[in-house]
Amino acid sequence: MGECIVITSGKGGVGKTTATGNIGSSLAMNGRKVALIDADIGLRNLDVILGLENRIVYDLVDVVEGFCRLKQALVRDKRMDNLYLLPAAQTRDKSAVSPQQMKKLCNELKGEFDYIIIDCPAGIEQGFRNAIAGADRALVITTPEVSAVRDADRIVGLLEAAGKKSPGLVLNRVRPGMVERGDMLDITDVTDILAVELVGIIPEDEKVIVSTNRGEPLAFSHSSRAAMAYRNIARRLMGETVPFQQLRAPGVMPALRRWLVG
Amino acid sequence: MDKEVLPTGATSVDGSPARSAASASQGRKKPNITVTTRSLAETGRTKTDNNGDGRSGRPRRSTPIVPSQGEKVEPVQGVSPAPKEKRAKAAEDQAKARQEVAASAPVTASIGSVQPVQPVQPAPHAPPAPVISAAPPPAPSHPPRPAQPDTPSATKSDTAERFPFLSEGRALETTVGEAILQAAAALGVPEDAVAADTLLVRRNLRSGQQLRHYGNVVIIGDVNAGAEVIATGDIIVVGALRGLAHAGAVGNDDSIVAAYYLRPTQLRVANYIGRAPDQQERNYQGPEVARVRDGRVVVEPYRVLAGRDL
Repeated sequence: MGECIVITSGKGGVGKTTATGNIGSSLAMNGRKVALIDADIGLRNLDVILGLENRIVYDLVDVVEGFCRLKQALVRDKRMDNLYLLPAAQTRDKSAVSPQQMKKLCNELKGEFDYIIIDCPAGIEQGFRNAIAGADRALVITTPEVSAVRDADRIVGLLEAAGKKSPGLVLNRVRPGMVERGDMLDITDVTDILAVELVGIIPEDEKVIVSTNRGEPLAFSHSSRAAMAYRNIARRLMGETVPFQQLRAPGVMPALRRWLVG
Repeated sequence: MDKEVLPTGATSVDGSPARSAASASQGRKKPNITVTTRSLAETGRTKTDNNGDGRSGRPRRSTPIVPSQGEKVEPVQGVSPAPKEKRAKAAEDQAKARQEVAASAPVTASIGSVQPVQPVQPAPHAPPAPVISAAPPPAPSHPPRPAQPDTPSATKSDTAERFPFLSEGRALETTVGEAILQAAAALGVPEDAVAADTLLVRRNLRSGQQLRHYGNVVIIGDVNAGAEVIATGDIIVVGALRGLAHAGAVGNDDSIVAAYYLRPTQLRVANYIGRAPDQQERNYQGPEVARVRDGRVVVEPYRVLAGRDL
């Protein structure tokens, strides 16, 4: 029986879809069978980030309406055999699906997959309610900005009200330099406010934009620190204990100085 | 649910409700793509009047033929829930529609008139043009299909399942459509000319918008990624096609998709599906045509061969 995890944030643009694609890819790289569900009906993006846009024939709405079988709608990733995407419909909206239908869908997928990761749409309306309906646990993703943290707090409250077990927190787009200068919320600031378990810190990385535009999840990259962070989150989800990586990269200058001074 | 199904041959609009309503009321005066967001049960009549110009236009292939303004037609009642009743109802509608076709002189006469290209361009001073888009979703009137071996590409029955409105359209062809053909035959109009029901669209289709049409579609504008054009005939885009195009949607694999700039995410012709290669760097800039050859969707440069090739 698999586990169903929803990735949500409340605020838009904090990296839900990117996180879904990368955490899903990381879990698949670890040999788990993973299904990603794009619950953002009408504004689908997960397929683009995974580079599977042109393979979509059926979508989530077709499945719940019974126009096709679940297996027909699942798009297999072009890089890995154990990663599947259930795309959202683009020409419909959130009201096309009900929470009950999502619950049924997730239960169906749980029999087949080790992990089901749901990409939740922004907002707290029906799209959100649909996305969390079938989830066993949630990852709340936020950036170190007051508005994003405030929205995340609201989401945590809603998740508790919906009877989900305490969510995990992913802090995205952290810029260590700014944090050091005191220009950005510190990690402890955020965890103090939200008081939920921290499962990942993802540093800001330009490569994220490059990879999403190319449709190749960053998780495959070995040079990117953000990719490393995503892989670590995946390992933590699988129950491993992984220390948080040092945020401040040992830059070139200190290394050079060390080398010169000896 | 018949009422939810877009009358075939008609384009529907699914913008914000307010917008749709506005365009609907506006459509009383202007030739336009008009749509009401109200259901049939509420309005007591068919949803779309594609001509919307008050003249007694060509018959739409829908059940029943759309009443043009000023013409008195029995209002269509709500939808019968059970398939059996539905069939009976359809037969009833069909009979009614036939009578209407036979009775309505202007309707039959207009079949014989020049190529039926529709005036769908909004008036210049009109408020924001109606969004061409998805019909209110066809509710799952079809029960889930029995299990079949999993095939990567859609089969013929898939197409019918996925586009129930189109399979419905096909059924209509043998009902209302038949009546039209009979009327046309009486006037000596060749069958081909009747079938060539072409919709002209002068606007761009953006992500999330969907155009479904029973017949051919000509779009003067772009079809962006995330937009869908589905037609039972050919699709011609005088502009860039970056979204999804499905020509010959009820199974006509002679259909083509042509565009000035053909870079679709996915192309479907009848029950064949083609997708863009993953590493797509095509340098060809000219107009191209996609069609089915040897069981595959192929894209080739458009060549003028005095109508021989196309």
